[in-house]
Amino acid sequence: MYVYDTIDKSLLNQRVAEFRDQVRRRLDGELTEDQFKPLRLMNGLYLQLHAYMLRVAIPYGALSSDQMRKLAYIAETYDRGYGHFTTRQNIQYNWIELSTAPDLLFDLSEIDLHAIQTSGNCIRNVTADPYAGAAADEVDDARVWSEIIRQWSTFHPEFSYLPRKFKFAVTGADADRAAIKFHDIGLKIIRSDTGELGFEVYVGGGQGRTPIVAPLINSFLPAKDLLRYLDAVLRIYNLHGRRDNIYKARIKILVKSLGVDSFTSQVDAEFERLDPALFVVEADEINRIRDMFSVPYLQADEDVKARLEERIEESPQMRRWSDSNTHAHKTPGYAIVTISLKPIGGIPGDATAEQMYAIADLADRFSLGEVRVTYTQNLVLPHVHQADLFVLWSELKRLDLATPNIGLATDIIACPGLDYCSLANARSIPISQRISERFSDLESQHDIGPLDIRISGCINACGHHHAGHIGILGVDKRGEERYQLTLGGQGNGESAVGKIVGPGFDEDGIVDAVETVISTYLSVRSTGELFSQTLERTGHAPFKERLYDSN
Amino acid sequence: MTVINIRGENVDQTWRDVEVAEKTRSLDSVILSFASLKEHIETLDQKSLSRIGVRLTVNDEIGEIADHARHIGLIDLVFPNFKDGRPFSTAVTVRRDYGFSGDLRASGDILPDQALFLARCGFSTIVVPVQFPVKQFKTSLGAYTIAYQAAVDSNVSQVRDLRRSAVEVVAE
Amino acid sequence: MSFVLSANRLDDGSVVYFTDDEQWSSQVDDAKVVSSDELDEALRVSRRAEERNIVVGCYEVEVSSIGGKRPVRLRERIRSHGPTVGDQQSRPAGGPEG
Repeated sequence: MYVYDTIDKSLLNQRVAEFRDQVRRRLDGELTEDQFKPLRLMNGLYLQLHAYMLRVAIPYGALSSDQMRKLAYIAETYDRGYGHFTTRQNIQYNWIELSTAPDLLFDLSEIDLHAIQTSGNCIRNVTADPYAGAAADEVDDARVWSEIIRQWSTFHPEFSYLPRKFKFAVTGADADRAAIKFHDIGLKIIRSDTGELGFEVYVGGGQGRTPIVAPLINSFLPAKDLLRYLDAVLRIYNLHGRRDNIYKARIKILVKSLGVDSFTSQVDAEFERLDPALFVVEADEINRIRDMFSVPYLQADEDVKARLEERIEESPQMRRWSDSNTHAHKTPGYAIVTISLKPIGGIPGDATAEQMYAIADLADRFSLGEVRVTYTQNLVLPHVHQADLFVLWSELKRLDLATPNIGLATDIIACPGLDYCSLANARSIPISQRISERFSDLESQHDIGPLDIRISGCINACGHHHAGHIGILGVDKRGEERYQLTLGGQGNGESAVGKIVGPGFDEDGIVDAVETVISTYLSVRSTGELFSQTLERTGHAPFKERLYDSN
Repeated sequence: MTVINIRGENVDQTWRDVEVAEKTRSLDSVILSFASLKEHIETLDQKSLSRIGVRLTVNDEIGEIADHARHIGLIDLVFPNFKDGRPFSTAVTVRRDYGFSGDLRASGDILPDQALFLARCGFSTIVVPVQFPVKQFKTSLGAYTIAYQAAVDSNVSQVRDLRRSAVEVVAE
Repeated sequence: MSFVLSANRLDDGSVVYFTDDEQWSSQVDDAKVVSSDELDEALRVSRRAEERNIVVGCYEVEVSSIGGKRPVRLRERIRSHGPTVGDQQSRPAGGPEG
């Protein structure tokens, strides 16, 4: 974990004091709402459908157990006993008061947590691979570079009043567990042929009204040039992004309107103009940061897997969980465990304070005190010894956190929707709950295989519906909730935006429609073919036929 | 009109807003519009330029006078709306790329809470909007003694600059 | 058409409705109902509370003309009664049907 020193802590303390004064000035009337709003947003505080909502930052999705305990404390002290983990690896509290928010932020600061730049037209939380530091396939630890970007972007004097929000995502492996191509800037860490560390740079991706898979604008950016390049991109965006229309203000619109080649040349020209000496990240500083993320030596254990197999033989339930909710660790004998926040019929991404406290304890017992948040609204314990899996599993079961559904049909991403969000047109949580209940049978889920169902309550697409194999978008049709169905999205790898299949459905209809889509897949798939593969082979035709067949 | 420097102290206002060169006999200590300056710039020697100021809106392309910028006495960048952050980038460019060393002024719609960002982007003076007390600007300038980035003009006391492994302590 | 006026309390963010005696209540049932003709004037009066930093974002909510103060839009029913999801202990799900 990145551990704050006096520099980091002082900055945080000064931020807490500054916000306390800003709140006072608002409550006293020295600041109007129009003046206060951007300041409040830059500290993650929204005025939402029911109350103020606070979005606490979880930088690159990494938490210590003590930080998780503090998040639980905040839930039970300032909120209604629960929190919601988001598709940007942050956590949201829905029932916050402005007058006590400064105290809340002070409490967070005691454990190096904050809500800095989780909203507003500035650089937001850098999201990253939740398996960073644990996965066998990584080229380098995404958290190191995410932390460097975090520091560079925090209270950046030049880039705090951008045309619109700005989101980064970093993956350290070829497997993209951060959906990097759907971000304003996506970075993939790679090595050149000569072994030099660098990045593939994708700029101008996003979802929302105009979903775009980010084009690659630099196929190898040496690591030493990272901040200089980002400085160039941000300056071009700050100066030339549109400010007349908030729906056309993201960098993806600028890239599209200039064209990738022209945009890239402008960035390159600015890059050339900048003095490299101003942007070098010193080796000592990189190593200082890297050391903080390094895991203490883990003893490889080749035999434990065999011993584990024996026990699993006796427990099909445990096997099911192990199959879907664990992932290979780079050290033999260890595993990366996903904690499912998608209980059947539950609210995706929600956790109670009690659960959060318990997860913190489990992290201490089984995962070197580390927890991660995924953009799919689940949690991860990254360093679990396989000998501990049985005990861990039974503890998670007791807490209703062991649903064996990671990557399967009931591992649904859903935004808060109209139940919580003033931007929404329709509710998303009840749809998620009903789909989850419809497909609760585990045998069926495993038979269906990997399936990303994503639900957004409005076109802002916080539920990532564009990137779902099956995407659902809630709309308002003459005062009624209506749901559009898209197929063929892909969040990672060969990222793709889903396409709408036909007319929308009502609340009952959309759940039936999802079932129709899945049963169509089951009936036309070739042996071993995944949903996404079948869809690619057949196109929409068989699905449309079954969905809109008048019989 | 109240103008402060980046330590929050009042500075005497010696510049006159003239906009159009033809409206004044002497170009000494006048602030012209960008259009007017461009019209006359070729006729002005370095000494005359150093006694002139120019006001740029966000629609003015300062690159058009890049070669002359460093000789100008004062550059005033107007914020049309405090949420429009373009002048921050223009300021950085003017200081860093064009080597401007004169008075870089921020005017227009500005919040006190932006004061430190202005200072760190290279602004040297701020025209205080009438609805805000000067005191609040001074408070905001002192809100942070720490920063994560080196600025164009570092005026926080400690900078965790990723370029350097040691923390840079900058004189105020 | 009939309307009530709603806003959020500045200090705690709670949803409130403008009452007959120019106060703000968390219950939509306490709200003053106005007709379309009366709306502009009612907004003008209620927005004084914004200027006095008591509430923010005052706006009109259409309510059913038949039998009282049931908001017409689902969004407004959820806003007045709470989320339609969640268990009763940690988050009251009064439901918009109430």
